[in-house]
Amino acid sequence: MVADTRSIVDLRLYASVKDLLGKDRIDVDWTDNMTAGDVRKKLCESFPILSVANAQFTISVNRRAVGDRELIQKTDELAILPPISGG
Amino acid sequence: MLVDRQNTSVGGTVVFIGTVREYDSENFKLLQLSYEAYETMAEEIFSDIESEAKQKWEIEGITVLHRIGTLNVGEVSVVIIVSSKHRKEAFDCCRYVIDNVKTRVPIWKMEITNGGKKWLGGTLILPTKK
Repeated sequence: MVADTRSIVDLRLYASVKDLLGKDRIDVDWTDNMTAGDVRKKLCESFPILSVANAQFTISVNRRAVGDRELIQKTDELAILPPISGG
Repeated sequence: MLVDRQNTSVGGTVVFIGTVREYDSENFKLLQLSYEAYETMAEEIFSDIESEAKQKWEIEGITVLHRIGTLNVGEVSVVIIVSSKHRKEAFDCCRYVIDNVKTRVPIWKMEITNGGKKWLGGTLILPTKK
């Protein structure tokens, strides 16, 4: 039997992005040297509606907002954060 | 709750209370607001903002409360209480906290009007340094 070596990172979705995709979490295949920018690209390729809706978002890694160059580890907690409007 | 009577160093306490307005940004009559949060991250950012504020001003106490879920017009959505020796620090710090809550804490609001439901556009959170 061959072990499944596929690694998945869990991506949390909120507010407008959650509604656009109709789900609150998605799995993303993790690869070596994957960056937040790669996650953004994969997400937009998998869900063209994000581009159609011109959805803007920040990516957070372990509850900290990061830039696109941030390296992702497979144990990281990732989230997609559309523009906020608390208060 | 507002004043800690045990802390006799406090000379002033400033309270900011945010409430749900009746009309939305496009002048539609609002029925309700629904708040959603990335709660664990929001708590960490609240904590960061409090620590920064305490470094900037001589503050005796800061309390930040933000409701999530569905609120009716007139209900309280956010409360910030800052106490310090002098009023100026308390006012400045309270403004700093609410301004930073609005630009850094992952909370979103959906406006529910007779015209439908809409997530309110807002501020894109900027990347933070490690």
